[in-house]
Amino acid sequence: MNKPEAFYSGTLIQNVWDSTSLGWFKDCPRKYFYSMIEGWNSKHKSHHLIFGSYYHKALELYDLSRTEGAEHKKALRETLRWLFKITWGWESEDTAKNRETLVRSVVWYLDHFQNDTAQTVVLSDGKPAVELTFHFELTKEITLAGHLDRLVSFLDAPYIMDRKTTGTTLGSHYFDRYEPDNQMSLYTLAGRIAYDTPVRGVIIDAAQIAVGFTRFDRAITYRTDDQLKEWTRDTILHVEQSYRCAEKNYWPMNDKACMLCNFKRICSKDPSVREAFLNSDFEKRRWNPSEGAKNA
Amino acid sequence: MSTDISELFARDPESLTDQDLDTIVAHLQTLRAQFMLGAKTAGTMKKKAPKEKVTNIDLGELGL
Repeated sequence: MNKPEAFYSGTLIQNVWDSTSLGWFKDCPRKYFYSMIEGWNSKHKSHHLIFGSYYHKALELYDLSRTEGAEHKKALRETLRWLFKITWGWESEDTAKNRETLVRSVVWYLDHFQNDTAQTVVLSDGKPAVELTFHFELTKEITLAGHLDRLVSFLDAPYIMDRKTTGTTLGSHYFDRYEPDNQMSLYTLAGRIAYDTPVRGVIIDAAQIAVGFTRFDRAITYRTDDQLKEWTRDTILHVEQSYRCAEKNYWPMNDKACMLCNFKRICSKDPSVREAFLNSDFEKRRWNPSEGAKNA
Repeated sequence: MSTDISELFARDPESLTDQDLDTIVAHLQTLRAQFMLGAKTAGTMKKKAPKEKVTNIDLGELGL
């Protein structure tokens, strides 16, 4: 089996984990097996993922341009020029997430946060803390990896900033999903360990994308030392469980987590025909935690 | 105005000038200002399909 670099050579034992692969295993070992071990993905790339990916990259370009000294107008022009080129020919059938609403959302975001009090941190090497890739050892066997949007200073305290796009109405109901949350705990830990910064939590800049408007809201999700210790302990246990599954090469189904799962229509079939349905509805695109694309 | 914006979005991005980009930004900022004033669909950029003109129906053509 041709396994991604995340695995120890010749085994099904994953040593480099990101929030996506860890999240798959936490959701359901079978989902992890299909997604991470076998690399099955839906044949049709989701317009949500495409939209989120362009949105992130555009704002990242703007941040970089600004921290390199460009004025707002120039940085915005550079960002839009890139955005128009990269999305040329993108035909989204979604009325809310398409090329026009993407450009609108980027322009409106930069208008909304033009005088933002959250400022990009400058790292000890003098570089702006944007486009941050992290890779650190949690234990001798487990390495955690990922990508942070930005490290910012907000009211004199350091935070990770993470941007999200959603179709959901913003409010406490939306932000509640991030407390607790695998990704936000990992990001906070990464800020502390990989970037040696006493990060207090993650600032979530959410954009609600609708047909006729984009609305923004911001919330902070905090993590205490003890919460991070608990998350670390839990993570080690989850990873150890994945090793036990790998040893037996059996990945049990968590049939209490099927409702929003892409593989529901596979797992609901008789085991003898699942491979045929996978080949029909999915294609293989392997996920590498060290190269994981940033999306919503 | 909206026709101009649609045309700019449809144009080959290699040919967009700084002025074109500024026009797009200014237009979107105007839409945002309208949204902030309460127009909930201010940011819709797709042109609405023209309503078909209602004409008198010739009942004779229906063959009833």
